[in-house]
Amino acid sequence: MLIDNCLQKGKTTEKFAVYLSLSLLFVISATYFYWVGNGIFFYQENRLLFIFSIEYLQKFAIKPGGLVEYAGNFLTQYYYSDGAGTLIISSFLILLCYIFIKINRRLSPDRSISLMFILLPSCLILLLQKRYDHLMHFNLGYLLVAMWFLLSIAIPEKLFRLIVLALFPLFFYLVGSFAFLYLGMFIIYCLIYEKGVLRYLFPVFLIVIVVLTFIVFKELLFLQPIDHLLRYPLPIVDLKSFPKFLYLLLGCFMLFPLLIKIFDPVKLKKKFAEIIPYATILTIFPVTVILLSKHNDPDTANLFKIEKAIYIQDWDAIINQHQSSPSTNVIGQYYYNLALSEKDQLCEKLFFGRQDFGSKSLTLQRDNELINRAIYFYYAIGLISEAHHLAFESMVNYGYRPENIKLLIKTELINGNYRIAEQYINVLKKTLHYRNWAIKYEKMIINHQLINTDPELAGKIRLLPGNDFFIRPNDAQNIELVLMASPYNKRAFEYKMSRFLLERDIVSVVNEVRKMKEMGYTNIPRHIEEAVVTFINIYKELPDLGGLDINPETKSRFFQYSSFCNLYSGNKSRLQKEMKKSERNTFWYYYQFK
Amino acid sequence: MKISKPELRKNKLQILVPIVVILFLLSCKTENYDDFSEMGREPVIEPDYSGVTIPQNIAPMNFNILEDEGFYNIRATSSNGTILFVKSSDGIVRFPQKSWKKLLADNQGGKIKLEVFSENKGEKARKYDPIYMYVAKEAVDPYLCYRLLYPGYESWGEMKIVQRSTEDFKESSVFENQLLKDNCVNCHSFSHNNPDKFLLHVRGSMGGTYFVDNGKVKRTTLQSQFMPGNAVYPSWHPAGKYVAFSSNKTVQAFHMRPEKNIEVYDLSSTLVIYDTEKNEMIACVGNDSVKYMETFPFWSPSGEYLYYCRTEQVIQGFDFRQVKYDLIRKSFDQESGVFGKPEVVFNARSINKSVSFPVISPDGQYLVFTLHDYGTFSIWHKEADLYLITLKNAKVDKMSLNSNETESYHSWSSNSKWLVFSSKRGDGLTARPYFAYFGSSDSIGKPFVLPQKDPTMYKRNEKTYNRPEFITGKIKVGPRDFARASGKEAIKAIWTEKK
Repeated sequence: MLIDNCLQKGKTTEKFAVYLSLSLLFVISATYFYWVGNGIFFYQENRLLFIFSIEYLQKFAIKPGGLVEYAGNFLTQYYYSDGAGTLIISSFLILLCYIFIKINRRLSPDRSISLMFILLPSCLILLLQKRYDHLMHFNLGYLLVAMWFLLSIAIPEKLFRLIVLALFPLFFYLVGSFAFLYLGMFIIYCLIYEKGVLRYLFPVFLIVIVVLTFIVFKELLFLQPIDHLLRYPLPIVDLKSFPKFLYLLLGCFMLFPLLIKIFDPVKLKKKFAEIIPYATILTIFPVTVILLSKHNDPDTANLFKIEKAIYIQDWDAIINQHQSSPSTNVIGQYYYNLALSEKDQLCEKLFFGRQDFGSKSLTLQRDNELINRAIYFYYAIGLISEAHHLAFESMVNYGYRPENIKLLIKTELINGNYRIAEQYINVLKKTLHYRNWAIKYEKMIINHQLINTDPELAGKIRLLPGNDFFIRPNDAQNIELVLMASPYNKRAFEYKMSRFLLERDIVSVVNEVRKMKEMGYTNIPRHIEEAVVTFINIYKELPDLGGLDINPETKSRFFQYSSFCNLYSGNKSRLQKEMKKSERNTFWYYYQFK
Repeated sequence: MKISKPELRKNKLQILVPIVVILFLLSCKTENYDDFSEMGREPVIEPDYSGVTIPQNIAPMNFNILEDEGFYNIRATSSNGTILFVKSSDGIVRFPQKSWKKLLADNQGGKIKLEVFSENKGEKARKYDPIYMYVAKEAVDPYLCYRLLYPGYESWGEMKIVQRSTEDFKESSVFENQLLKDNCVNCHSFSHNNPDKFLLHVRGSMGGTYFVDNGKVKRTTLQSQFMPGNAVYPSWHPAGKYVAFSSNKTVQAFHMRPEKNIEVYDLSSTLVIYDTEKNEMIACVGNDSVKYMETFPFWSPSGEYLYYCRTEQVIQGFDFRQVKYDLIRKSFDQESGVFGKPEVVFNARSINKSVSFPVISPDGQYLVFTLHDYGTFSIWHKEADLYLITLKNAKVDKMSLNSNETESYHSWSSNSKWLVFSSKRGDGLTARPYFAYFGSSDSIGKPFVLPQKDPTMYKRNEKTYNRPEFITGKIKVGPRDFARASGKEAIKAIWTEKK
């Protein structure tokens, strides 16, 4: 056993404690990521696309630290499966512990393992890994720092050490700014553990190498700005969101040699020495579990569930999810409305799901990260060129992601740009998980007729605007322009009506109803009917419905609603409470209480 | 028996030399096919180099054979009998640099015959009809400079200006925007193909117009409140003292029908002159009573005329499809710096078209411009084509080098014998630099795309090649020089209306 070799012979308690703690660490990590925190796998896997090509490798090879990101991305592609993701992260945590055990053994060959300091980095990384923006290459960076440090102290011969230090440029190229963490670690080590002139010689030698490396890298080898060379790929870009666990982790790494030294001379009675490892386990793991269970964000986890369903176009799942456990997030509600639109139920079931943001949950801003989500609205109503525009912007700003490249392929096929679609398909074919998807669409490049028989693409082709116009910043205007260009586009029409409903603009709703029969409606969707009935009740006039009728059942429901209102008219909070039980899925409830 | 050391060495040589010779001969051996079937057609190759006219100093014209065969033998023969053999097991044909150079050097004014034989295991070899490349006597400038960026919309991400040797595949960055806080860079422009004298614009926090003169980079701010926008499209006066710019207030919009992607148009634009010696911006005042928008200036090689594109000033609610630019020129007195009256060189409006990018050959005989249906931003116009005016008789011809896709930006080699132009004929989205030999208005070679070491590279490269410009040598400044210059305060140009 690898770990056996690192542990002192005869120390059964120590061995047992180490195995127990590593097993516990693995179990806690695996349990958390497989059942609770698996949202990070979906999120991170979808924010990059690992491509098996020289060009993709070159993008990372041209900058120090790029290769560690490349390796991280390689592993992240396996996050496609929650099981594989869990295994990767949990194994990594154990591996890091193993390296620290070896370092501990080197630093303090005759003493017991300092279980606390060995477990602390892995536990901190486990806590950091809860964050959606803690990426796999950060973990690899920490691991490589620990390994390089171990290599530096592994053999005490002066020459060997100088060779390892002289290889710092290579290490810096591999891990980028993580190398500075090693620098701190090694200097502290030398000052504490080395004796005589070597205590200063090695640090000075290393600092000279670091300075020279930095100058050569900046001025000759790499076209990278100075702040990039100093910071990339350490996760300290956004200092405002710098979590305290990260400070602690960086401190743990740098001060590891010092901590081992400080706690090394403590001589304890045998019975205490045997208790300490278990005390450590009983402290560190419960604290980790408590911290893991704190600050969970169920709404974000819920959003990722919805988003996962969006990517596979499981519209029913999104609708059911929002109706059974409503998202309080504007993006979650936007996706619900989108799913309804894709199922042609927008004005039928809009108020069956929670609506907290008025018309703001119909479309999203087309800026920053939101463009990746805003795309779907345009795709839904047939503004394929705008969906393509946003997918392209996403690709330029964030690189290829599974979703943006899929949308680029679909929109290029819909728009008839087969040669460009083929280029994107060729990229997607060089990936692990999306190759089969790409092959399906590659057939359409060979046989264009397949596009017209594909329900999704053919449906979008039918929705393409009849006339050209320029997209505007305001989506209400865009919907008007779509309807001018394609007056029978029901999806766009229902988005328009939903906007009126969510803005309680019943006059505008009623004004539009007269066009519906000509558009092909045989009956008025439920919520539009509810708005019409409200209009009749308020304005006491019968509007022109263009030949369509109000369903008697709607009238009867309104009668029932009115009765409730009359019953609790003196007590609004009671009224709302009662209504919430039976009438919350109606426009009337939204109109009155939201 | 004892053998002396020299003898032993001699014996070793006696064994080694024949082995090396045999190995060498084996490696050079090409199949001498006696028994093959004729395909009766040329092989399909990419890029399409069949029948192209190439300069005698061009880099190896590597290509990819798009036939479904197992193995290829390629025999390149020059007019005077020099032969070069290349084998390919994957269809990718790469000519060795030295042998290729020799093949061309021995063949100026002649042609290269490319014979492709294909083999599949156990089958009879096939021979395709030969492909010919014509080798012009005139050399092309040794470097090409272009901007590489994503072809579209608003965001730009990585952006760089690159110089590529036309004689081999060496490529190096002149400018990389990650060193200047990801600012946008555009409109690199050389003073008569001179790699030591050029300018480029940077837009953003490190913004300004950066002038390069003999290794020194100077950051300036040319914009003034009297100009509608930034200094944009430049043209160096042949004396090197003045640079004409158009100053444009530009907007872009996105089409919602699939036929077109993007529309870029001006709301106003005017011409200005920058005096590089005095650091003065001078209004280029017109004598017209009508208010025009003026753009794309270009000096005649003599410096006596300024050519540009002009249309009437648009008013609110205008239809962008009705904006048509004509080609105009104004005389220029280099002593006084005064312009004459504008003359219409080509009335594009009369044929319901619009002109952009007028560029005159260094010998002053020809002018090439881009013609499209409307507006000013031809790169997004599929119908955009290149046209040629023979200046001595004002004859206008549509050039034979056009395709069904966009042909847009173009520039001449310093000897006026080669034209490089952006064309989207590959995929309809990304522009690539195409070279065309120019003998005269009725002798233009079939264009070819800039050859690459890996001929399949264009299939994978999602970046567009923007503003390809020939230069007579290697640019000596690099990205770090621009980064250093960007750290200095920009020198503000002084505005004057005296001319």
